[in-house]
Amino acid sequence: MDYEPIVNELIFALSAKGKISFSDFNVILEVLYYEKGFAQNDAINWNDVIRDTRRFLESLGYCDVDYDDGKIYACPPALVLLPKNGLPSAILIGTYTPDVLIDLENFTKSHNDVCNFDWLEHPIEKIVSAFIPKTLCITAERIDLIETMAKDADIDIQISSSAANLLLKFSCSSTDIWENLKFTERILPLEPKGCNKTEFNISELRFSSSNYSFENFRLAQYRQINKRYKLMFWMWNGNEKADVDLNWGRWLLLHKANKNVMVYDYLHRQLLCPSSVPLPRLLARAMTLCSGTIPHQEILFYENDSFKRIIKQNEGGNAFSFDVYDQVSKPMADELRNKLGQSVIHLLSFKLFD
Amino acid sequence: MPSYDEWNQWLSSHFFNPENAGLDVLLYITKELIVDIGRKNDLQITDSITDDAVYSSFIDIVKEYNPYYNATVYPEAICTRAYRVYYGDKPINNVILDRESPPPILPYLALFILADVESNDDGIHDNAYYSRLRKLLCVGDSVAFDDFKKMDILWNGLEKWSRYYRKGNYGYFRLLPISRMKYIKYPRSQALLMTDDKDKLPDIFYAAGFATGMLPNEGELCAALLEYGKYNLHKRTLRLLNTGDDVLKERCLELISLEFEEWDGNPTTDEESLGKAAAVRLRANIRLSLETTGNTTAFYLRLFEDDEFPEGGYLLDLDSKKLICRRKNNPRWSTRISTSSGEFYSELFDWRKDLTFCDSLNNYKARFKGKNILVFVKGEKECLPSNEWIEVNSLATDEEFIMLVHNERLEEVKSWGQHSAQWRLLAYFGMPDDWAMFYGKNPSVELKPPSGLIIEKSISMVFEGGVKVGRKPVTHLYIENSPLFIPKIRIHNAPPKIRVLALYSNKECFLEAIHGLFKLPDLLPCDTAIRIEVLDRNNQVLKTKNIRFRKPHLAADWGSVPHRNSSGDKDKDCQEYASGAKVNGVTTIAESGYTDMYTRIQRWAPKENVQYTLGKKPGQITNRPLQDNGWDAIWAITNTTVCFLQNEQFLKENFTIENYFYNLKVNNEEGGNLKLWKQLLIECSKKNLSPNLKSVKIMLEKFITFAERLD
Repeated sequence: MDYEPIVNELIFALSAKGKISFSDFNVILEVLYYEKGFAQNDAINWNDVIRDTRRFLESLGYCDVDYDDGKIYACPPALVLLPKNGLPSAILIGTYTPDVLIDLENFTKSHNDVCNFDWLEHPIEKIVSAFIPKTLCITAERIDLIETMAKDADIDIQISSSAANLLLKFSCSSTDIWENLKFTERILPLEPKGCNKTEFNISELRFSSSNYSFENFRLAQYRQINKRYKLMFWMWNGNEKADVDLNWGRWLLLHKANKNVMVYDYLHRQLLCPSSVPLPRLLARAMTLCSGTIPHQEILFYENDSFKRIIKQNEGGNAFSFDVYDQVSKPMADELRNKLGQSVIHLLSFKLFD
Repeated sequence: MPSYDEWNQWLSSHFFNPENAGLDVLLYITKELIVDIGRKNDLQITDSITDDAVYSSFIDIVKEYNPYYNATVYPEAICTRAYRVYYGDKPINNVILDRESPPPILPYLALFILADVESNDDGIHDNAYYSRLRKLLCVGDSVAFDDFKKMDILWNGLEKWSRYYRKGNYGYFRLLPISRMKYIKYPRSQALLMTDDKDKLPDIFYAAGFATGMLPNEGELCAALLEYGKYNLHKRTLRLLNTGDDVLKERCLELISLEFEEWDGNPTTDEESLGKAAAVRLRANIRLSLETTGNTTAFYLRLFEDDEFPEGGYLLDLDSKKLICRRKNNPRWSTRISTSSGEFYSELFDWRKDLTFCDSLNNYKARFKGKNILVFVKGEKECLPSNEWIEVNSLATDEEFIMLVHNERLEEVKSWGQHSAQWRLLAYFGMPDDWAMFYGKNPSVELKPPSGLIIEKSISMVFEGGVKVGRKPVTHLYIENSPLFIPKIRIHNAPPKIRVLALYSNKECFLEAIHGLFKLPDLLPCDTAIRIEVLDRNNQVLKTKNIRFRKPHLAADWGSVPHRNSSGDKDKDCQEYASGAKVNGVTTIAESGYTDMYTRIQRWAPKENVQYTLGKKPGQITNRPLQDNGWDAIWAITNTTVCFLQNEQFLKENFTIENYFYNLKVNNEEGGNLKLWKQLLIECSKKNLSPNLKSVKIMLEKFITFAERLD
């Protein structure tokens, strides 16, 4: 397949549009879809391309996706630090133009002994099913060089701390969310009228039509009749309900059920979250910006309250797909665990050929 | 509030400016535009002043403007005053048009247009222009306007100024006279779409079952407006669409298309108030597709929609049958609707009847619109297999088609169809009873087509593909070396042997046609209007359109980027917020353990014996970074075999490497553990990957070279 991994054209288009509706965004993707040869690849699903592209562009800080309004807002270009060990490294976030890239490249060329200009690769399975441009990463001997570079390119910079750390610390915790839920008692009928209901199953980590409650807590999804994608999410506590954000809601319920699903691989510095339980918006951005690359997916097997990367022959276990965030340090993983009320499970075994 | 001259200047610069060079300009002036222009240009118009107040002030200023004599300002003498303003102090027939800015009459012309376009549903008949003008000027019904017929001179004067004196450098003012209307033809031709008609368009689009982002062609759009707008749109709009002048109709549809592009897919009113026409909430259309193989044909159904599909596609119910369809590799068409056990052949139901398919889980409904004449065109233009034909609502005059006709309409269709090229009956196995299938090319436009069939007669030009970043004129993004972003041009209903010419920057370039699409050159100028002309074999211009390109640029305003509070919700008022990947308003947030080199190293490799810090001089080495060694630790290396740690390089903050090497000499007195220093550097030279930074790489190489020379 003739696919150019640096899909910068998409970022140029976003930057020129500023604010764009989902349907217009899809039209742009359509241009790339045919030109890049996706249409010839049977393994690629158009809906997944749209969803993944939107989701990953947001977590990389290129744009902000407003699912309520169905709009995508391009973010201004800026250099932000990676929480990387060693020499200071900054990545370019927000939308940009070729001129911005030329300015940054020219600066590194004129300071090539102390600055380096590089494109970070995303996991291969993702870049063939979504339009994610490579991340521009600048490494410099000193941080003031990065500051000067941003000034030369006339773009913003954030160097007080790494973007991942700032977002992680800024984000509230599940305890805060729980305390701010406004529970009101429902009188009969308990369920809203004209809605189809599904509930979050903490064993299977997905919504399904049966009732799943832990003690009195339930997370229900209601799809309103006549409003096709209008969904409501209610957290139930006995007969009381509160509106809740879907992504927070799942983690709240897991916390209430003392179910730990977050896995940390200490040696590889990888944080693994179930793909069906995505991180809340700011935390997902924080984890993605630990490495500047989008998470890849991996299947883990769950057995006896632990997850394994491989299972031996004749060994059982339920398979779950996980989003794997790279370059997450232990303190960051601990911070995230605290925010979500999880105890991190450490991996018991590793891939055979690592 | 602004003066008459200020309004004149703002309107002039809005409509006539170098950006409109070579383009046609119509004075489509609405209340909304007046308010926008006022707010944009006059800082004294604050948010506390309402739109109505801004608009009224404009009307009052124009109404009362009287620069040349001090007599009482009679509203009925407004035309006399406009005429006087046009001529100024100059003798009659000697008006100065050879000037940079247009004659100072734009506010007057705006007022005459506003009288037509802003109706407010006051019970005044559509054609009662003068009644509406009287209402706008607040004068009695019996008042007659002096010198109204002289207003033609003003309209013509503006056209003359733009065309002959300014040679289109600020745009060509277009006068499109509507015949039969002697004095009001010019204001009416500028105001083709009334504001309250515009407000009703979302309901009509919705009721017609259009999907956002899929602009219907002119014929379909026009048919939908006539059908679903017959009780909502003004009669004059319907008349214009139904029997109006082609140029005006096209312009009106163009304005409606622009509204369509802004449409978010929702109606403006509640479902209940939409009336019978929209009682069935259409989400998408289900259309027939037919496949011909050898002498057999089979009929399938596909969902026609460019919206997202839920995970796993749709599970549609039809008479207790469960049908499945998914989206795969086609942005508009679903996979064939099938049952869990295999193909679902659509001959099972009567194609003349409407059918509604429901997905109860997703609360989704799609409708198959029953017809007794079904028209199909080749599916390959929609990226479907080449032996598949798909159902369409309209035909272009130059198109190849298959027509499926029920016996009850057979004679009617036969008598019409035989005037089309290559018309013939198709005899395939697999045809349902009572239906006949015909093949044809270039459908006849001389005879009236059978009812329900739309033939696109007028020539039209459509830009396909690319990324549109502006509306007037159509502006597309131009990315150097990325021709995929250059739209291609499709011409519908063109006579044979047309040629398409692009005119720009004193160049003329005939466009090459590939598979029916005309391709613009890869190298195009930006910020210049490119005129596209369709020429017939006699070089007569059949159609023109303008397009402009713009280089990638940053959005003009980032103000709309949502501010997210700590829970990730939108919150415009919060002081501390995340915007994209940045956090704003937060004073200090400590880094998680990366404040200095020593702590970073600990985080990096907490196990001992995998990392070593080094000082400025040979022999200065330790694996215990927090210990006071009597020397300053500057950088670090590793002896680990874990591959992902090997390219980590640590330097002390604000440390300049170039000054470092001056001290690189053997000094046993100061050197600590020279043996370990040498061993580690040489051993680790293969373990440590080359760092990305040239200076660090040189430093490492120098130290290794130096270590190798040591005894």
